[in-house]
Amino acid sequence: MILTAISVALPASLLGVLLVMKRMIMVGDAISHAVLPGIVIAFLIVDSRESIPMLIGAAITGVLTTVLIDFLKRKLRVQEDAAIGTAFTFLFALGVLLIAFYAGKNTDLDQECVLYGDLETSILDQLIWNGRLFGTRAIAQLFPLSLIVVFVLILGNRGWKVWAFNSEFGNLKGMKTNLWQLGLMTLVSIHAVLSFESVGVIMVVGLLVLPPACALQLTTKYSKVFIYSACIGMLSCVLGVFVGGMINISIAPTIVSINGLIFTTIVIINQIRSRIIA
Amino acid sequence: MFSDPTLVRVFLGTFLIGLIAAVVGFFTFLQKKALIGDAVSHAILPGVILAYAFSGVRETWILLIGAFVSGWLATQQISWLERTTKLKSDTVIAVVMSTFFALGLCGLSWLQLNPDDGQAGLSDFLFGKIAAISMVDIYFLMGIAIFILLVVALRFRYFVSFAFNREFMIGKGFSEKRNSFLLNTMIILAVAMGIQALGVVLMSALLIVPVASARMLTNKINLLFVVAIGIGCFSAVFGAYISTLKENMPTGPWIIMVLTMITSFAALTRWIVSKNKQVKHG
Repeated sequence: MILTAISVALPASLLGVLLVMKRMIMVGDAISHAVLPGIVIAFLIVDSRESIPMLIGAAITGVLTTVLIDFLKRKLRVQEDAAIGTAFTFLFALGVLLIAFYAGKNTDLDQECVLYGDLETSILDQLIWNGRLFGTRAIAQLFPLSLIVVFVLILGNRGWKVWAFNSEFGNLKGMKTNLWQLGLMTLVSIHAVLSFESVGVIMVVGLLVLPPACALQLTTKYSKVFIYSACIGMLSCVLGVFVGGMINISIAPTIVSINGLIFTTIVIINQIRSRIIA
Repeated sequence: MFSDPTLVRVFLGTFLIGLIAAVVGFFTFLQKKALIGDAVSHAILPGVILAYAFSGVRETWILLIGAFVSGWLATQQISWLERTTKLKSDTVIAVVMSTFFALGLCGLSWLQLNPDDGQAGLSDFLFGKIAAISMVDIYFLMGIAIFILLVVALRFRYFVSFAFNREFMIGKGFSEKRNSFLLNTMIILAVAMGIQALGVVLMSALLIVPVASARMLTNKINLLFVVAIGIGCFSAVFGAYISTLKENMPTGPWIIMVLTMITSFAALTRWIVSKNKQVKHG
């Protein structure tokens, strides 16, 4: 269970750093809600919970969300927060309606499952090949994603820096910052769809935003933020699994709650430290 | 149609929710804090759960008190974090929102360890069920609507001036704390009542979208206020009406669909108008 949790949290905490730095964390929130119609449509077309069609559906809706937000912002001059709110509530409502219309009788897919997720049941979905246990499906899907995220981050290190801090400069240099952004958003939506069964969409936001927020309290060095963020993400997973198991409550919200407590503690300690110094 | 008392309650309820959401949303939109509504609607969950755990009954006013306390704590924490850390405001909102919601979910799963019959009501509180609205809820909604309209009627200028020119108002000696306290109170009250009908996620739509689409149609502040309220009320009632046409149709999503249609029309109108203007000037 710890491994499943970590395989959800690790890519989230790395992607989250970029989102937080670019002030796009609410777009991440929007995407994690907005992948719902993509999932439902893919589910309706192929009539099973195969992961590949769902991935494609989610990636498409994820990119669509960013495009829609951008369209509202640029073309219609809607202010950013309102654009985000309009876009994701529309898509989410569409998803809920689709479920109500077509998948109503199907217990495989309901909005509570999408919103909350269930780490405990997701580990029952195991990969057994040649009679040997290879870990759970969630790990098998998310582990490659973690590798891809790490790989993409290292490979595109300079590109991401330029994108996050100075995209005008990037554009001037002939860098396609929009494409970089779409790439990141695709990764975020793939992550959202892979992890929604385990942790639910709102917890995905928590996993995206909390580790980087903690990390930014501890350091201001660009590369260190990623490392700290990943460590804090994994630490709260381990703690969350233990605490949740101990008092017998669901794991995913426990992980996020603990992460939130860690964040609050760090902020308070920082406050006290700065008072003492000053 | 109006002979059925449930339907009358549903239409009255959605009308009132649409009204207060649009009024409150108008001010959060002007302050560029539209996503605060989103944060509050997630953040009231732990309060609702705690209120239920302590009292053991699902009475609207008890849950409302719980919702109010945790919503207020969340807005306080948001402004505290904005002051003390260097994090940007969207990050702070996401942090507070996800932490509170996670705490609430922990509480919910803790409650489910020893289930009893009152809990079905709690999940309605999250996903919204307008059909379950009672006459008491309607009276509550009326009371809150009157309160909010009164506050707005007395302080319209003051809120608007704060939204547009904060420094000037502070310089004039008006208290910013009082302003944001009033505004936060209104947001929390509106959201706490509204999510019973619409659910957590879709409540923020009713706060944001009416005023955002009204903004495409007009530049005048008074007109914007009126148009936003009109759009909010109309789409809430019309969406509720559509959802009663068929069995088991969720209300919230239909309201959002109507809202989105109106937004698209507004966008189209704006586009045509701006095209015409270009032709005139060119």
